[in-house]
Amino acid sequence: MFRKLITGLAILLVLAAPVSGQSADLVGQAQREGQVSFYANMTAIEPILEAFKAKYGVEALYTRLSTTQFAPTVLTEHATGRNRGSVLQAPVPVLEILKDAGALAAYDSPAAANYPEWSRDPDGMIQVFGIEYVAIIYNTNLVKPEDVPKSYMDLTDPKWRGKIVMPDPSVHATTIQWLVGLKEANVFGSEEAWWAFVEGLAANEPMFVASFGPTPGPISSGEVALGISMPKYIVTLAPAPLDWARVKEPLFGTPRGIALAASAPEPNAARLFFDFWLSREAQEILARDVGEYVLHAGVYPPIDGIDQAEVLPLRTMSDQELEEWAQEFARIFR
Amino acid sequence: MQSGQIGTKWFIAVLLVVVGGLTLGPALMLVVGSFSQGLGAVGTFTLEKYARVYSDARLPQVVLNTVIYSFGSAFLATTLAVILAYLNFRTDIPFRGVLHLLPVVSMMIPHLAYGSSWALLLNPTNGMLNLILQEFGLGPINIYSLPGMIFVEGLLDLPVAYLVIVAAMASFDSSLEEASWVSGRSRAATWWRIILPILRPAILAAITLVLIRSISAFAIPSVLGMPGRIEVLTTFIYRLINVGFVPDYGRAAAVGVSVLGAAVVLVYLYRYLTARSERFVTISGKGYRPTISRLGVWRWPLGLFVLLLGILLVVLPVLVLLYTSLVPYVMAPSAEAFRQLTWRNWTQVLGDPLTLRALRNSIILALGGATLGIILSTLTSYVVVRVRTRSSAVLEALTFLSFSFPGLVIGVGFMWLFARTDLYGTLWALLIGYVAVYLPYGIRPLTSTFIQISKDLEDASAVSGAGFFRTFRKVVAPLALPGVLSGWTLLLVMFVRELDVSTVLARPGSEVLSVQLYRAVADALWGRVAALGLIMVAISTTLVLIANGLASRFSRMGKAG
Amino acid sequence: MEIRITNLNKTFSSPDGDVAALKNVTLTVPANQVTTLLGPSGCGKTTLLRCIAGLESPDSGEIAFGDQVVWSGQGKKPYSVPTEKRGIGMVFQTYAIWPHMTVFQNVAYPLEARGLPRDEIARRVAEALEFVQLAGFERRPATALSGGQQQRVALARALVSQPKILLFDEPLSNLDAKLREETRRELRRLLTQLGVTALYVTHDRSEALALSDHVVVMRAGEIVEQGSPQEIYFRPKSRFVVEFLGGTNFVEGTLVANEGEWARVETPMGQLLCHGADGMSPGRRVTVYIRSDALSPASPESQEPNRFQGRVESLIFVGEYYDAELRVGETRLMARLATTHSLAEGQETPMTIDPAGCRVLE
Repeated sequence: MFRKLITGLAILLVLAAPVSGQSADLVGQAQREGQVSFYANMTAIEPILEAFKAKYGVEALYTRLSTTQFAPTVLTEHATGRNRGSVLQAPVPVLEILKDAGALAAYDSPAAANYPEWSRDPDGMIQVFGIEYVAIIYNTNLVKPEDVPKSYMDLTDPKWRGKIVMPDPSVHATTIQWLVGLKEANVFGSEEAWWAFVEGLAANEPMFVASFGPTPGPISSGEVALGISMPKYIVTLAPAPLDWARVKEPLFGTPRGIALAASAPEPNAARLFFDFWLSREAQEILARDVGEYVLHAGVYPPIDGIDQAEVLPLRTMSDQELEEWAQEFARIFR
Repeated sequence: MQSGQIGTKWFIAVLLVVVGGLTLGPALMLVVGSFSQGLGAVGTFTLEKYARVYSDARLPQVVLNTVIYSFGSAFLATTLAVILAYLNFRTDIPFRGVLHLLPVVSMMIPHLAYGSSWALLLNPTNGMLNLILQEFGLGPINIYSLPGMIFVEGLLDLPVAYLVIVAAMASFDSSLEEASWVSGRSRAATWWRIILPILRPAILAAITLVLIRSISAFAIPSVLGMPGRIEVLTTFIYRLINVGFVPDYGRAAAVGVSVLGAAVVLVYLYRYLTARSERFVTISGKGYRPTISRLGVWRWPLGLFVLLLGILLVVLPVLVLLYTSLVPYVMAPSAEAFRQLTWRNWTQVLGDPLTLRALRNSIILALGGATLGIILSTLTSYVVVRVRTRSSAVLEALTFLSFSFPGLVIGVGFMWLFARTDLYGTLWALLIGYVAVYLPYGIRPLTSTFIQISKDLEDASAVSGAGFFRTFRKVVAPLALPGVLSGWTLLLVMFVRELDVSTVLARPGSEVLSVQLYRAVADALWGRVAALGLIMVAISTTLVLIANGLASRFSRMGKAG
Repeated sequence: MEIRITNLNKTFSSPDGDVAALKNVTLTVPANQVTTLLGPSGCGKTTLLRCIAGLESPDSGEIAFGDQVVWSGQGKKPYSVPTEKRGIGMVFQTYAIWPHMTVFQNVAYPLEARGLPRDEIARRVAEALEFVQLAGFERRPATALSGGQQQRVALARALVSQPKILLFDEPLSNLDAKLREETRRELRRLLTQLGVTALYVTHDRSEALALSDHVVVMRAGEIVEQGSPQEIYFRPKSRFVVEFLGGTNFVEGTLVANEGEWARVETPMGQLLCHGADGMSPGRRVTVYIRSDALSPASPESQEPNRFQGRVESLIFVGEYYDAELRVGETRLMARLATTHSLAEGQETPMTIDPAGCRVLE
């Protein structure tokens, strides 16, 4: 009797443990819901949605929310009981704010097994799947191979004066985190060296733009030679003359996470989509089409040398902390 | 307005409720938000947001920059608009038809794309025009500067001013001008003493609109001001709310409250300056025939000047957009660039079902919103002009309300409001938001039109036994047709490229083109931005041409009987 | 239908203070006659007209058309029949021809507003245009007409609905002199033919005298005098009316005797036989108005009253008569002399003043 029970449990476990597919139950429920609405701050993810639909027959409706819109929108919907988004994808700091507000639901996805231990939230709510990695991007026509920076510190070289583009560090959160991250990871060996880096960068009078979006334009057009930007543009803007500087320090970026919304309108389809998003199939699309750095074991974007790079997540900073640094950088860079 | 006094009172009351609901709702949400702890609309009372905003050390510089920027743009846009409108409407300048369309076209170009085009043309490093200038040993002109920003913003706002002034210029009795010449005044003196004073309501309307527009403009300060490190109010607000991962819109609202104060002062100033409105009556009922004055030797030089302006305004930026849409990535024009020309951006944009749905939604919203908006504007501005009571003054002030909050936050006010209703996430929410936020654009040109229509024409209708609504439909509305058309065009074009409200309220099913464009901006896909921008220009042009055709047929029919 | 106006008041507020446009005006406009409101600009005549039309709202008082009260300031809230329900016609100073309509559309408008059938409208518009001699102009755009034609379109529009009351706000002031005189005559004929109650505002005295059955002279928001044109012209009571009608000869004096119809006034010129002093007691200071056509040169032997020795100061020939300036002692008088006299400037001559042309003013 006891044996039988054990065997039965084992069979159940085998059935439940999704090796490649999904429990028929979840798929059926998701199909009855017919659709799943997905709030994301990433773009160009339509191929994943199409693949999802092709595989399960469930339509994924995608709403793009910018990073700054994300929390206010979801919080307002949560407060007024008009939740529209079932699955939420955003930078981890944003998801943490939503988690604190009780807007997220816990989900222990079987698909999380292929991700590193640190990427899982202890409360089972946020799954980190990628890093919005930042690097020095340069124009291959304008920067001679021997001039390509070999360290972040090379950005302080006076020869780059007026030839650097970067998001305004008195506004742009990721850039603030990145600069502070370099200090906290102690990449220059000492805090004094880091200060020298920041001040040297400021002395080169970089051209400021609002976010990373406008950085590759001036680089590819030759208005500037290089900038603090993102390697993914090498993929999305190909064949633009862009490449990333293989610096000796690691690359840093804000972790990207995905979560389920509390009281999601389509709870089952949401789980199905969540699992699919973390699958190798979806992550390969992300890496290949959008140039994203993903944490799924063995998946890399098609950028030369990126699989050799060390890419580290930046610590989440509170808005209070960010604002203090923003004012500090405003002082240094003006 | 003596006739049907009781009906009129009800009418104003209904208008007050509608306009008040549209504008007060989101504005109140924002004001409450500015006094609330935390990030939502409602929280414990606090003055912390005001303290934080108004203690910022950079605020004085920001205010100074904003004043220079907005007044500079308003001055440039209005001056050019008056000259252009006069030349196009009252003189025998060459290529009049084409020139009339140019300013309208430039308004259709999304501001982000327009600003980026100018950055490509005039950036100090390798701007295309600067490279040409350097051949002549000139330049470089730095577009990332306050004068550069004023130049581009002024060109962008020129159409707004132009449409307002054209409405007045078209119904300007030329005998007023001729009387001055006959009195021995020179053309210049006639301009100074007759034309400008008579056009005063329209000119003031244009200046007011452009001022408020440029104060709340974000695209140009962000694209050209940030690289030049010139901070104006909108970029200041952007910095205040966007540091960190959760924007504190309450702070932006705290800034908005003083912008609101400034706007109220502007409105009262405007009302004071046009208080004796009968002085500006130019359609009297004795019949007028606008005559065309001959420019003589100045005909071709002025023609060339206007042509040059048209090139600056439209042709250059549109060419840059076209070029950008055809190259695989942002690059300076060269033989290499032309070898790489590709349709890829276009096929991607047009092959995307989401873009096609957005296209449909944008057209529906533009047509529906502009029509709804112009009906509301016509009724409102009629009351504001004809009934000079306290309630009509309140009505006029209300229409400026949502305008006074920067675009960055007004959409949030609507989200806070709509999230409490079933309209949330529907196309209706966008429609209502559009009409509410852009109501002043419909009201300004119509107000100056109504001021010009002699009240005798309405009195004659009342005496003939026609009630208020019949008079409005048969006499007032047809005479105001030029103004109505201007306002409608203005609204339609704004709605096609509306971003502030859409980006906050659009959901799956209610996507619009501008949001698609903004996504492409965020992804640095400038080729797609350019293609989408050109599609928006094409839609607006088509719709405006159709409307103009219908209107001219309508007015011909009216004349033929 | 008569128009009865009782104790009507109206004040305009302006930045420079309040202006009383109508002060306690009481007036009956007789039915089926032409009545003129005459006065200088700013006297309140247009305001009164617009109050009657319902285009302006009085502060207090009452207006009635026949038995029907159309405006009343009694009660907490004023009672007002809206303009479009008052059943009137009106011609505006600016004509207010709608520039976006044809002649036909302009004239048909009041009938359409009353919901008449199409063929009825066509018939009556044709009639009205015929009446104002504009038949055949139906399809013209209204703005393509001359001033006189526009004026007639405005008239046709005002009377096409056959209103009982027609209002005119200086309709001829925008026409040239010749056309004005023609139109005046024509208007008089049309109005007599129609037999409606017409109220006509003008500041032109000859227009008022020529057109109306009844003249009401206004000044600063008040009615000064009213009566038939002849009464107003020959038997004015106030210096204001005399001056407004063009009179210039005023002589100050003392009433010495009142003999029924006639009175004697001692003046610097000598004693004058006058009329119009009914009820005044002798010894009172009065002003005597001498009509310019009452003066004539006298034959040396005549024994007429009011005989003076005068001197011709200036003599201007204006066609039908001479405009002469005469001096009697220190008094200067303007005289209209027949061309049959052969006088010369500087000449001394005896002259008489017809006592019927000498009027004692209050």
